[in-house]
Amino acid sequence: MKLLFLFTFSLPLQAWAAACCGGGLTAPSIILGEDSAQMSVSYSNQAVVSDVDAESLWHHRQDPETTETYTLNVAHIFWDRWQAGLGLPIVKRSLGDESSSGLGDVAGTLGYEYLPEWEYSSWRPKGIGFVQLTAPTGRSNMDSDQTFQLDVRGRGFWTLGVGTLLTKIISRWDLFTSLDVHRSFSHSYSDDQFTGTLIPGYGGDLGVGAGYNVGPYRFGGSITWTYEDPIDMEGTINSQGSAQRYATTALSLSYLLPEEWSVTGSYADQTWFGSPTNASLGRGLLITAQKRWLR
Amino acid sequence: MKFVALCFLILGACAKSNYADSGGDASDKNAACFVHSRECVSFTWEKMPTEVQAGDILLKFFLLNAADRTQVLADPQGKIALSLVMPGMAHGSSDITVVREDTGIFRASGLFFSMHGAWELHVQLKNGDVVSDEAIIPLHF
Repeated sequence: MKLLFLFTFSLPLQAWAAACCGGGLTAPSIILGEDSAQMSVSYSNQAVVSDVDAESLWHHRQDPETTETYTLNVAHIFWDRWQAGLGLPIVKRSLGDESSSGLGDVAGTLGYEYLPEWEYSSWRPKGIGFVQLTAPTGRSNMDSDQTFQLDVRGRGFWTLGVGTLLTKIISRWDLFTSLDVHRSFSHSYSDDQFTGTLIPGYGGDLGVGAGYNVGPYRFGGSITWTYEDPIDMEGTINSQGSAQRYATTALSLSYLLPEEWSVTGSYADQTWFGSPTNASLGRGLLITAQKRWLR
Repeated sequence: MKFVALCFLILGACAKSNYADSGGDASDKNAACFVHSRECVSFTWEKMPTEVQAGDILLKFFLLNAADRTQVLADPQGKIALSLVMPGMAHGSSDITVVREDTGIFRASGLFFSMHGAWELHVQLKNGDVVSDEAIIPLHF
């Protein structure tokens, strides 16, 4: 039970994303253990340390931009193997002496446990499929009205995704893999100078991770590869975008507290693996406190 | 099984940080001609932009003398609208203020680059809300 519970800490790491301009998709809020509900509050502090352009050339940042994110994630089993979740991020971006904060992109998740673990199997994993809808509640780059665009806290698109999570416990080890494919929809913008439409495409995330459990502790690691189709601009300004690609590596330490509480500290870095292109890469810390309610 | 192992090796390879030459001179060419008219535009930096500070430029609008191709300063036909666009990321930047200084000479302030990479300076001439002509100057930050 403890092992399954600690799986849940791997998921928020998907919230790390290319930090330029509000970050990426909010991570799905999903119950992986045998609980009826869970709630987590997390704080992350991430600094953009390098930009990688469309030709995959790296540019080191002399003055890193920092992004602090407070995220509330809730999930609840509402019927048999069905669950619903919500992710609510509050984002604060800072550059030099300037900063701005507000609501990021809110994500709702509907999940179904299609591979339940009702009996022991040495090889068959537990599987949960999900549909996630992300609302562009965070201001996008084209809607910004600040000089340094620090009020950009989201991607600016309605996004619909489907995905799956597979988990397996082998002795003291836990393993997971996640895969999702999402489609972002066009967004129209208009101000006193420019009008037009941003046309995004498909994107996806592939994640793998593992953890080693010792008593109330779990030492974990994961890596998530992210891809986004080019975004084209049509209107007053016309341009064709480039695809975006990066990988996020995370190391975490979790501790199980009494009464179904737990805490996790994580370090994530986007400069270690993969062949990033057209992305701002960050590194930083994530602290999560979680409460769960047993079935 | 070999295919899966190969995928993991490729995806899990360490990132190769191929750093570009340092500097943000944003001075690839600094000039371009409009699509429909014979007019051209160039700029020089008055205040260089940094990661935490917007830059200012001095714009020169000119025609090329038919006899010897020298530059003849001339005010553009229409209202000037400037914008920085990062085509790869499909995003723009903050609003740019343009003030006329002399015949064919304009000062533009507030050019902010939110990240490093390839950018475009779109110089548009407008009749009301309609874009009548455009020159695009590529630059690198």
